Amino acid sequence: MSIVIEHLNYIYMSGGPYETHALHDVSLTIEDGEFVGLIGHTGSGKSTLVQHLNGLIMPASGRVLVDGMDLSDKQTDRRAIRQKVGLVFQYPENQLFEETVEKDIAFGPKNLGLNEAEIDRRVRDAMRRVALDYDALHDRSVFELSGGQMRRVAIAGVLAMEPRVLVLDEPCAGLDPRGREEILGLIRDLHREAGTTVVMVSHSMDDVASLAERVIVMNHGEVVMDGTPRDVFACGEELRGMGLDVPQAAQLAQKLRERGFGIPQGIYRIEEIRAEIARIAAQGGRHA
Amino acid sequence: MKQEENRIVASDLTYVYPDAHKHAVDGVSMRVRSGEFLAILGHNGSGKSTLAKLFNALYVPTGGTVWVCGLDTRNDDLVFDIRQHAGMVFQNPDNQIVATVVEEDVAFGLENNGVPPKEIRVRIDEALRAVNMSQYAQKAPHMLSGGQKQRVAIAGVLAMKPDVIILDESTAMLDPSGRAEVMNTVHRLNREEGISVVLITHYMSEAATADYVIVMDEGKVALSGTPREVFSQVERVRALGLDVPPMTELAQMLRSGGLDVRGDVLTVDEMVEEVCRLSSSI
Repeated sequence: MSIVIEHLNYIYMSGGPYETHALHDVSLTIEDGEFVGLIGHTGSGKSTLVQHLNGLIMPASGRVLVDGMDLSDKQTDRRAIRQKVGLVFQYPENQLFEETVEKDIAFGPKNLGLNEAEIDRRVRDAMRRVALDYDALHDRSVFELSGGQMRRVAIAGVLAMEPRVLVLDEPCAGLDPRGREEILGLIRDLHREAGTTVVMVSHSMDDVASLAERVIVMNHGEVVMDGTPRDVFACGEELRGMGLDVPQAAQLAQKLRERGFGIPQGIYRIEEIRAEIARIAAQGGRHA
Repeated sequence: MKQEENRIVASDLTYVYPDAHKHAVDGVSMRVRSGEFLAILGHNGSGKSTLAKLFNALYVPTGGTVWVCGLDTRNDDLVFDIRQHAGMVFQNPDNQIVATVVEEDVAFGLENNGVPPKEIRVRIDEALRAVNMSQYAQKAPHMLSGGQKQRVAIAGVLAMKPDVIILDESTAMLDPSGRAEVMNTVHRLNREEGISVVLITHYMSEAATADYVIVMDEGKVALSGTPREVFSQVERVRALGLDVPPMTELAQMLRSGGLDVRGDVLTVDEMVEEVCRLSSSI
């Protein structure tokens, strides 16, 4: 199931004094099973873009096709689209509202009109996927949980819809390093084991570098780069010019190159730069 | 050391939340020196935010004492004085702005403290200038970015002419450029105005720029020292649920591979120097 975006434009507060052209002629295709990292400065349009992916907002012009269905078409069943494309907002734990963990996760499936047994299966499965112990936690109040656990409950609520595509807007924002590791680990497993297509918006280049197979960079409402992490993170100058970082391993590779060391282009992982430094130490890598 | 050289002194400090069984802060003794930039790290629930709230009398100690510029936070009559000496900036930029115009928000604390109008005007202008927000004085806060809102919050604290600014995960909800804005502002105030800073953060890269780092765990101080001393203990830092800066991790990987690099490298530039040294010693 692919998502095709054609010449998408979006304008906030159209016609008013604060009119903002948030997306300019964005065209791209997200293929089934991809892991896409979406990066960009605040205000670059990345959150606006992801809200189009399941029809939360409608294009000013252009089209979004999910599994061949046009989201702007009045005939399209939006509910069916939202089952296929699950969207996890920023700070999703702010949207928890039910009395218990189980009820909160079951809310979506219940609205789909599924029977009790199927709902129960989905709740248990979703909790397993986010590493929450069903027996220990299902009847607890969500508000008794830690911040990291609350976020996992919110993600489980989206997973219980069994979407083919999971879109996450800054899933690790505000978490401590351990909480961040947990969330990134479960997203990685979902992608690898269940084959779920993942679109992850992130400010952390290191998180994107460690997970994504494809990186899309947005700036001023346009897609300005689209490629493998290797290709994108090789453009350190351009990224910095857009207010973005590159992973520290890529920064180090660049600075060593400037000092005359023969480090190949496209290095962005710690393990890769470690191997290069070990090679330099073994044979002396500085070009005359 | 003389008392006036310490801005905050905590002595055998404990705090238990109402109805809780565990100590959120458990026997902490520490100090914040005049002009010092102190970072407090720790995973969620380690007690670091509770500690911050004890530092400006938002919480009163269950046991032990906190002195802020010599004032005992257990004394109710001193609360307003204490908060003037030690101002706090919180995590969510949208939860701490109260006025509909930027400069009125900065004036809020001053008006409540009965500062004369003429003096208020001077202090607002100074405070907004210090955070580089003068051109936004008449703007509506909701039109600002997260980093700009946090700088307005810092200006509100600065207008009170504090000795210490406490930032409780104030960069957690900001994007990288917003974080850089806040960190640059705080470092400049520390350097140029001599204001002590207590920075509570999850970002190891921010803690790496501090003079001194404290790592909290289970309500206790688990590790402390300069950033170099703390982060070079990679295994210990990881066991406490924290990251180490990527370059420190790389240095440790190289060392375990038998290479003679320093174990306390923090930044990319330091690593460049280490690699140059390695290659020239061959």
